Amino acid sequence: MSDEVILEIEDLYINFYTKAGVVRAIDGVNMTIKKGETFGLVGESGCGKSVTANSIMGLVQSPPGKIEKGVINFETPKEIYARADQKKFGGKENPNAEMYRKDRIDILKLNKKDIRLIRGRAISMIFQEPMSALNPVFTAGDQIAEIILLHERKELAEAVLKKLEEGRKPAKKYKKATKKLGNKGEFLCSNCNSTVLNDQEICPQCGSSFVRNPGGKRLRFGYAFYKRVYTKMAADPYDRTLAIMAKIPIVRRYRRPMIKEANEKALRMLRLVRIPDPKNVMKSFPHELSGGMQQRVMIAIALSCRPQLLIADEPTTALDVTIQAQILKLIQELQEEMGTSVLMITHNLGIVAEVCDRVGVMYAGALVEMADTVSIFKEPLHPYTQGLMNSIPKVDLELTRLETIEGNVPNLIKPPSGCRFHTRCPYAMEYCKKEKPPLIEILPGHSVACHLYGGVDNG
Amino acid sequence: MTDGIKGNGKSSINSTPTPAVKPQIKKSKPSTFNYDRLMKELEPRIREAKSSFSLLRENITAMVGLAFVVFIVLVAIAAPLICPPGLGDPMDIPKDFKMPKPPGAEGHLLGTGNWGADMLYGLVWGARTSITTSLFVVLTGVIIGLVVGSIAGYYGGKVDNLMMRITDIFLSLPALILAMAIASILERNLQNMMLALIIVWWPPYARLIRAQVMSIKENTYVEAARAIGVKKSSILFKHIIPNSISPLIVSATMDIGAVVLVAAGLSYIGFGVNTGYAEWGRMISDGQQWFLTTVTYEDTKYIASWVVIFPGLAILIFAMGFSLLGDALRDILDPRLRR
Amino acid sequence: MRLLNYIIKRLLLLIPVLIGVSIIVFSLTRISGDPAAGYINEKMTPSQIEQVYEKYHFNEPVYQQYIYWLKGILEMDWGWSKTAALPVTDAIAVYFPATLELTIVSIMLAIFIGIYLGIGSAVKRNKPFDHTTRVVSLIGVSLPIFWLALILQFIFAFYYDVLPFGGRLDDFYYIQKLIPDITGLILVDSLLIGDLKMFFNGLEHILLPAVTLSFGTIAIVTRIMRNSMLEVLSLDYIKTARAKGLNERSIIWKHARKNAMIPTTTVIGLSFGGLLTGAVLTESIYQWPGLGQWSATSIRLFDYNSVLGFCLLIAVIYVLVNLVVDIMYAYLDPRVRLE
Repeated sequence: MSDEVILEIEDLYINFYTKAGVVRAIDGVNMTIKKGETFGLVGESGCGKSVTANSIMGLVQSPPGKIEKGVINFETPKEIYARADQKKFGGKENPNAEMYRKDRIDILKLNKKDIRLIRGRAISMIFQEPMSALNPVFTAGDQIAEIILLHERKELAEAVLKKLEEGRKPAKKYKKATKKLGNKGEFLCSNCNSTVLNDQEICPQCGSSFVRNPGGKRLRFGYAFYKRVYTKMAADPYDRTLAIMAKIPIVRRYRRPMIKEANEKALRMLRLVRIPDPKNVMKSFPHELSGGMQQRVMIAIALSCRPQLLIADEPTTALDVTIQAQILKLIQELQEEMGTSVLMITHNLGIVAEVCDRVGVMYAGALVEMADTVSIFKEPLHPYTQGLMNSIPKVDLELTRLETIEGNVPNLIKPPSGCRFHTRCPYAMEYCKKEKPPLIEILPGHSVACHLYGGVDNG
Repeated sequence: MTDGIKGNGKSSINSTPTPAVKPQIKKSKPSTFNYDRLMKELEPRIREAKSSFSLLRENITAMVGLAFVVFIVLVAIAAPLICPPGLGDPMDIPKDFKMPKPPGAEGHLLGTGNWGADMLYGLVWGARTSITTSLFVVLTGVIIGLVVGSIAGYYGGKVDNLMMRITDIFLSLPALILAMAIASILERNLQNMMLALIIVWWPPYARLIRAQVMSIKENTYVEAARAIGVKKSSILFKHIIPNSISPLIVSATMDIGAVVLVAAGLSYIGFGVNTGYAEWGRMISDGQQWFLTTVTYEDTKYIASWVVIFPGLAILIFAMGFSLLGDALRDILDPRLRR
Repeated sequence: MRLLNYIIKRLLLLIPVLIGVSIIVFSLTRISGDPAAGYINEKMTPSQIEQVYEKYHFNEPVYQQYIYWLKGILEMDWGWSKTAALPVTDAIAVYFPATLELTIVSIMLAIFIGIYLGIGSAVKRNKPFDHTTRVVSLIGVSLPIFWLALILQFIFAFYYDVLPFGGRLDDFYYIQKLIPDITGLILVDSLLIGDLKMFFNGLEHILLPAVTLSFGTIAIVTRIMRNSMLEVLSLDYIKTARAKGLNERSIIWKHARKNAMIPTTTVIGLSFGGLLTGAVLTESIYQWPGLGQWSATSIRLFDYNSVLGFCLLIAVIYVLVNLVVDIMYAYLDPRVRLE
């Protein structure tokens, strides 16, 4: 784990405008995630964890939600860099070019088109209920291949080109080689599929000097066509002409080799997430798989384009406990292999203890404490965190009653004034009702938002 | 100074309460008791209904639907006032046996149609026909369907199988076709047409109720009632049916509009009512021959389009009104669907 | 393989339903006066009539009659059609292609227009497009078909004179006997023989009837598609698709649409019955020489046999179409086949 920060949320405020009133869902969240670490975001249901995660991906529905204020800085992915250089249709420069060339980019300022470059590629997300998160009418393999086809066209195109080259050999050399092995018969022209006899050096039909083994792959459109198409794709994956061609019924088949490549990569991804019998799973529909397997498929989808950040929104809450352990272990291992950072959202402190390097505790729309896992458990500073830690039943303590935090989660339409926790806080002071405490780093690497620790004027 | 309420002024300490007081208490006690209990039971439902009505007010389409329906019902009820019938059958539209006259002609607000039948009269009394026909068909169909469906759904087993096979067979014939088949055999009058429609219309309700009953049957409160020892039939009537009625009400309301369409279609073809009868579909088929021809009235030529347009509009408004009303009812009766 | 088993199972379930349908139609034939009337035409001599009585065993008990009647049906002996002056089976063969053509064009219209309008309406929820579509949809379900036919005729054929009044082709073709008879479908045949003018003429003639016939179905399909899409678009897997970085277009037209089509296909199949019954009314108005017109005329002429023959045919088609729809449903929704 390095100290380099890849994601930084500053002063995020999000409101939801509903019929019942304005829900102040996110009220000043500050958070940082470092490269290669697992950051746990803990809190009760309704405290805003999912909303924060959604806002990182730009998935907050614009009515009724509105991002009032805030900045989410992310390490600029290379696709965005590339966009800066792309000219617009008339030859003009992209108006956001300057913004794109910086080291860090504010996700909240990206327009719809650009944010699609990040989703699934630089940042990806897995959800709580894998059964409903997968489309029931497409096979698992299709759904993994889909994201690969969307984001990794360049690599796919290059792979296809490579396979194209390997599939054909110049007639002279090939025949000489197979002559040795005793193949006396015919060969097939690589371009037009007509037979080329043993003693001919050029195809009689089209004059191509390349042949292939009759058992090899048949190209529908001819070698030259494919070569041109895929070189173009390797150069500019989202080329307009290719996109239009993809819509015309028969011409559309040019994509077949690419789809085949994507399927093979999907198979590799399934192996990566340790699914037994991946070939069968590729062809299965989501409802035919168990919960654990579905979640693995989701992880495969999320990680297939090697994102820098993986957001896991309560990935194991809907699974059995034993499967839970497997999935968490899988995420950990993959994270190490790929160097991805993980934002693990959960309400289960056990999971936090197991897998997270650093933890952020959220309450009623604000981040109240942020530190590394050990400190959070050993020395919780914020009263809410202390309450949480105290309420975990421990085997060795003899208690007659379980500890709880008094009161209820506040209504976010009319939240408490000042510090939102003051109504339940055992240490609440007068000042807490007036001013909302900012998140301040009290100890190195340990920040709290509480007036008990501030250098602010208080009673 | 005697307190009037206390009755005859005698003190009641030592003597037993006088008859004048006793019956008073007896009479008032049961009624207040029932009223209170009723109010308590209804209170949450009234609350729901109040919020539903405010929703309703916001919902323009529901208001429009309600307006249409109320309008038509009022017209139907007030038919004798708007268009006083002559001698003989009020359903027989008064005709002057001349060429059709355009709307605005003397004495004919909406003109006349085939055989000089007064359009307004036909529309107004036709409202009566349509409402009675639809209500009768739908109500009968609902009752039959309710009985068949609930028995089939609740008792299950062979009874269910048999009833569902029969229902399936009826369902596998398109409505108009079956109605046509039945109506063509029997004598051609209004009652037989309604009979044909009822036979066609009960299977969907049976299906609907059966599905509802089967799903409610599995609910825990039914099991609880059984455990206490409530009779099976009581459970059916008291618990299951009241809970399964709401989709039926919605369906029935919307079907009132649908029945009118089918009935009009049948009348148009020639079933049901005779020519000159106040029924909208019949009016259209009667008027069709005049539809694209030119008639002269007071030296001006008109294309007799009103003969067909007005009855059709009436059918349209009727069907639309009940459709919208059904939609609104669905929104009210199923609070979960409120988005 | 699983799909095949499902198909076979459904085909087997079909048989009792068809038997039930046949029993109903049979009982209707026996109620309608002299059952022999259906098999006798004017040209027969008394001895021939006696033969008919023998052949169909009219002198024997009812259940025997049923067996022989059923045998007759299966052997394609459906009796005599007064209206067509042909045996019923021949009459069907003659009139079937016209109705088939009309029905196919109507279904295609319903599918394409309905689905696109439904998706558009869902995506542009609560915007003007949505509101207009919903209003038009509502009107579409509440319109009597025959009225719509007359109105459309009035506007386009009479007032603006852009489209013909009826028939399948201009009289010119009938007089000159230029009509090909390869498939019986004029649109197809004219292309097969390469006569483009005839093709476009046929298109002109089929436009109004097809629009009339499909109007109600378009309305229903639009509504179902809209509701279905709205439901699907709020589901989790759409969120996943967004999180993958897909553009809105792919999400709507690939992910959402495929799921939303599932209930829509069922509805399309069910509305087939509505199309067939609507054909009865539509064809007579547009003088379209199909089964609908034949049966409408039969009704007017009290030709019970033709009417019942028509009903039997429609019932069988309807049952088969529903079977096809069920199979398609299993094909589209992978979750279903597990049954």
